[in-house]
Amino acid sequence: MSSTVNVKTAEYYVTDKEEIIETGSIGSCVAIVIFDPAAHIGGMAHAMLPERHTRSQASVGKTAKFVDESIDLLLEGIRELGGDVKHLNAKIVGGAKMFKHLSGDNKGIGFQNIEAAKKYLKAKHVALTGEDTGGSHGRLAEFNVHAGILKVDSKI
Amino acid sequence: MKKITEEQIGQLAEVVNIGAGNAATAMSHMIGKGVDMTVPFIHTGAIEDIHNVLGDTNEVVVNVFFRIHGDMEGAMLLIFNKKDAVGFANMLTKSNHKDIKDFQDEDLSALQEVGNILLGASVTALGKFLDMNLLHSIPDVSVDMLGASLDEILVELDTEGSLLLFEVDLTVKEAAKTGKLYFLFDPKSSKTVLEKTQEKLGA
Repeated sequence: MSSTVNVKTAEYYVTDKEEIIETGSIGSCVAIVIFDPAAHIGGMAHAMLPERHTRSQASVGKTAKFVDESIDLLLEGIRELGGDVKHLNAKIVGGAKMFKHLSGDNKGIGFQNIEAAKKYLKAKHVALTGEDTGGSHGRLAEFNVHAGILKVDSKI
Repeated sequence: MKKITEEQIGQLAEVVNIGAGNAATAMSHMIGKGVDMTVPFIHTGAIEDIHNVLGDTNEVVVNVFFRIHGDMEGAMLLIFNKKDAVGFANMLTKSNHKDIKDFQDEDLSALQEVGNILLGASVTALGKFLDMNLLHSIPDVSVDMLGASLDEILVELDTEGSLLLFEVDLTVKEAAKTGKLYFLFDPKSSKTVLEKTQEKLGA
């Protein structure tokens, strides 16, 4: 049986082993999965925000808290394990709007997270092959790295 | 900015006590039973730390929340676990639901109204004590995993600084039903509230 690794908010994990990577409580956050289907190397990140606002702190390392940086971290991780960064697939989960009134009329941070993930994946030439995004419910995600299968669940 | 000291956190907890005390009294009047409250549990950290402390749970809860604006920025939340949400809703709407899945619109409205009254009582008390002009948004409600609904609130408050969070449990004496109150202050507001507190306490 493959072991399971839990990714918390603002964390990421990349593996080339037969492992399951899971994350829960995805609301307006976005869980990003990137994998090399041929080499069975892949990872998951749980990002909260589209990007960093204070660019001044250049010395601060990248964190999976932000969508763009989490994609960078996943790509770096996959490359280090010997994955082929030219033939990667990605799937994204989350970006819900949990509250009706919060953020007024705009679509909220969830929508911005999804847009940021799509834009940045495209910029990095990673194919988006699946998504379960939007709506107003929370999600749980479970990624089988070896099989390249992502399972999404909800509690409501 | 200097970090908030232990002593200052203690002073802020006093202020939260005043707010939570009023919420407890309001709740007690509403349901005609005594309500106990715990001393505030305090946590400070970046949004992801707070999320992982509180929201690292896939437990489904009813989360009634509103934003606080005006002389400070923050949020207040009233959280019921599934079982107690059903208990409170049954008490308020005189229904006999077994599960949160049986909820009708009126049940959620009732809990939202409880939130409105409790949180409103807290904000009014805080504003009065601190002599601050505090406004709040209309209450919003979510029924889902606690972590999932917290995300959105936390990122609304602050993205890269450190937040201050106080948690108080309210327990109905004879019914063993508990609601949790969360008070969240953004970093700047923590300082403002602290200055006002020290002014008031003559510290």
